[in-house]
Amino acid sequence: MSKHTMTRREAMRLIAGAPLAIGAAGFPGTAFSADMVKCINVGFVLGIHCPPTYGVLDECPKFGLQVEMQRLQSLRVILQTIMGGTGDIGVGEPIQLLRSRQAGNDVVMFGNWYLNTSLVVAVNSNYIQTWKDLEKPDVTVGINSQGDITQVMIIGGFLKNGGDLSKVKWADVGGSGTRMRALLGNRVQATVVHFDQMPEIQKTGNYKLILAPHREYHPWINEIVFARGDWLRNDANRRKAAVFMKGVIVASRRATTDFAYYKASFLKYATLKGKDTMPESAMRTYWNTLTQDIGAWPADNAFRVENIEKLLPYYRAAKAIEDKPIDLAAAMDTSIMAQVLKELG
Amino acid sequence: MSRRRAWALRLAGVAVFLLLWEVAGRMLGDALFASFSSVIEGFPATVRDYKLFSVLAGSFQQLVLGYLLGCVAGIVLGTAMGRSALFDGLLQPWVSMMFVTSIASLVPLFIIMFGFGLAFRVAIVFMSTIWYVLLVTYHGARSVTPDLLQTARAFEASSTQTFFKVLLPALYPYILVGMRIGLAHAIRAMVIAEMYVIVGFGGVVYNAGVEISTVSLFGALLTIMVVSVALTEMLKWFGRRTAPWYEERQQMSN
Amino acid sequence: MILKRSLVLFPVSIVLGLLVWEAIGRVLPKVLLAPPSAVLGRLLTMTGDGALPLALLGSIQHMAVGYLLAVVVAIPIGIIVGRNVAVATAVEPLLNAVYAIPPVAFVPFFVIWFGLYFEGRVALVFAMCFFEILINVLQGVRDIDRGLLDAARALEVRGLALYRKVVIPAASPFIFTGLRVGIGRAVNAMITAELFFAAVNLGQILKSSGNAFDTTALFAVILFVSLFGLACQEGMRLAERLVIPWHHGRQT
Repeated sequence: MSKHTMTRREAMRLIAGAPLAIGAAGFPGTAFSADMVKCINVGFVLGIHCPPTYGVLDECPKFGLQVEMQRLQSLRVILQTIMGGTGDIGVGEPIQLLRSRQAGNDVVMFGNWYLNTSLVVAVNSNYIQTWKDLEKPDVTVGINSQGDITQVMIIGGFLKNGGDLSKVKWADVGGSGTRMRALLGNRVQATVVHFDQMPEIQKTGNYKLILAPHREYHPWINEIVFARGDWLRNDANRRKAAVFMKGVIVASRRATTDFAYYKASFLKYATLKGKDTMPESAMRTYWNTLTQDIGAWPADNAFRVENIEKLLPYYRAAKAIEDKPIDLAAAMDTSIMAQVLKELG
Repeated sequence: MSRRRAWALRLAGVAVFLLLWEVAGRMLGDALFASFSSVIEGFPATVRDYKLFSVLAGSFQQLVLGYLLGCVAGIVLGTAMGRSALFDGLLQPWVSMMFVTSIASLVPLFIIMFGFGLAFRVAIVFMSTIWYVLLVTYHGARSVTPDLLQTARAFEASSTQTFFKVLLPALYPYILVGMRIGLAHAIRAMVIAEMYVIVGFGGVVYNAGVEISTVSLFGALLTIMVVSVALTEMLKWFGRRTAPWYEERQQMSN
Repeated sequence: MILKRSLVLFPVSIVLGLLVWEAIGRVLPKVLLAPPSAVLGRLLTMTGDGALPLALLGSIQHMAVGYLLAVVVAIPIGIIVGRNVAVATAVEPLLNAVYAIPPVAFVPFFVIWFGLYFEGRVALVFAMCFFEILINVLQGVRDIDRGLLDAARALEVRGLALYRKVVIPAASPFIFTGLRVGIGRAVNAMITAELFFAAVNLGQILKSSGNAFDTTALFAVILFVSLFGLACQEGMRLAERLVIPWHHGRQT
């Protein structure tokens, strides 16, 4: 029913490593019949998303789990689709999930899709030199929409540098494409873009990076894996969830240490135009940033309650969640990751 | 007007448009507004990287299905509402209310009802097309003069005969306008529905929109524009074939 | 007739629709559809405390300006292009081409050209109802019976008088169709503009309800806007009745 939207590139053949090629062709390759799970994921696939995607689509079958992946543009619709039962496992945003829980919906996180993020905060240096400058009356900050991850990301850095939130002008601009163009067209003077968009952006004018989440927050949680609470309470489903995260961990570990593995996943799943003609040196630099600098694919997934607890104050400051206490232990099922780590060692 | 003159005029119009586009593109640069020449230059890469044409062919299915279903439903309901006060009173509120609500609100509902596949996309195209065909046909049906119908009754025409030989021809110009407006919205709906689930042509538009350069995005939009012109011409041709008498009645041909 | 229609049939229709809604709501997962009773209750509270009407007053501004601009531009252009074969032939392919592009694709550029606030919203409302009005006016002008024009010419009616006495009256059924479809689009665009640009007024209420997963409030706002849209369209119908009373073919 749902098709893979990622193109399968013939370039696989060029990658040294036949075992990789066989796994990449997506065959279950196992003797026993595969379990099935429907995963709903978000938007476009950048470098940071490739290893977990590969892990789930190519490694999980080896453990007996076939994952059908459908991508949706809107995180909120993803949540609704999971809550409505059209999908089993969702990849989404932690803030929206907590908000949904506050509204009474039983959805539970059980792992990180990746850690930190490739998003950064870029500013127009003609207007902004320091964080305080965000308060200037002629400065507008472009975010996706009020109370979402892009706003929280900026608010954290701003508050840490002693800023006065009441003086900041926010504008809902939408997706990263529109945000970027709004920045370049000087309709906003600060916004959130991807770090690999920075060189291109900087070519067109005086722009600089003012915040990289992995350096500001330790760590930043951007995308998490979740499911309905009642779905997870079923043993067979818990098993599927565990195998799902197993695939993510296996791929995370390989992609962190093995560039060829990362490259294979990138060529197969990235929705970046020009990825086939990208020189390997550029790919390697990008990979280095993701692994050394950002630490995007931690070997143990870093799915801990305290990681989100540390971010809660910023969620609240952005009014992204309701001003009520939150039971993080109920929102985060850490037992599945514990199980996976025990099995994998 | 001779065919040659007509084509010359069309080309002139297109040429002016392309010139304006080129100038705007040169002034603003690829990141903000790629010029026509940039888009053409980058077009082969766009087609190759996004598999533009095969994706487009795939998207046609839901377009055609949703559009035709929407047209049929729109014509039938629009005529019924236009001719019957009861039908009108009962359906009008909901038709008017749904007409002003954007498809975006329907998307989560439709995904849960229809899944992510063809049915979902056909449903979105259907829901976008029907209102335009319905409303324009409705207004046409309301304007059919009573004399016409009385004459038919005087000749003891059966209701089917009246419908096909008197009513439909009178409605013809309205149906045509409705179908034409509906077509544009069907194409838009196809793209929007696909953008939501990031498949097909809409998926290409979505992914191209994330790139810094607008070359690919404009290439995709240019393709949509060509498709729209081609389909509208087909619609007009079809209209001429089914009602050749209409041309003579008008002061000029379409 | 009008009385019977609006006072009797409309309420019946609305009640029937609500029953259908209630039925669908029982079948689908609760996260999607709030029950009519809850939504109506919320609609009353939100209207009663002034939240919705105030927001509407804000939203209506860019809708009105955008719509009026579209009408003022589309009608003259439609009449001129409709009467002039050469211009019509030259312009038509472009019309058909640009018309099919989803407004969503224009938004980033509108943001750059018109900004994130009022001007941008007006631009989007304009773009979203202009073509519908134009195409109807175009058809209306072309649809005029040749016999009528020949007769007018024989009676030596030409120039402005031709337009005032023959062309515009003959085209008015289509013109009003365009105005009616246009205003429906304008109501849709009113909200869309507030969702795509900096969220304000009704769009903001919609967005925050969505973010809070408050389906009841979401539907209350949607219902409120729909009723407003219904009122606008009925208003346009009334205007048509007043301006071209002779048009009505059917005995209602």
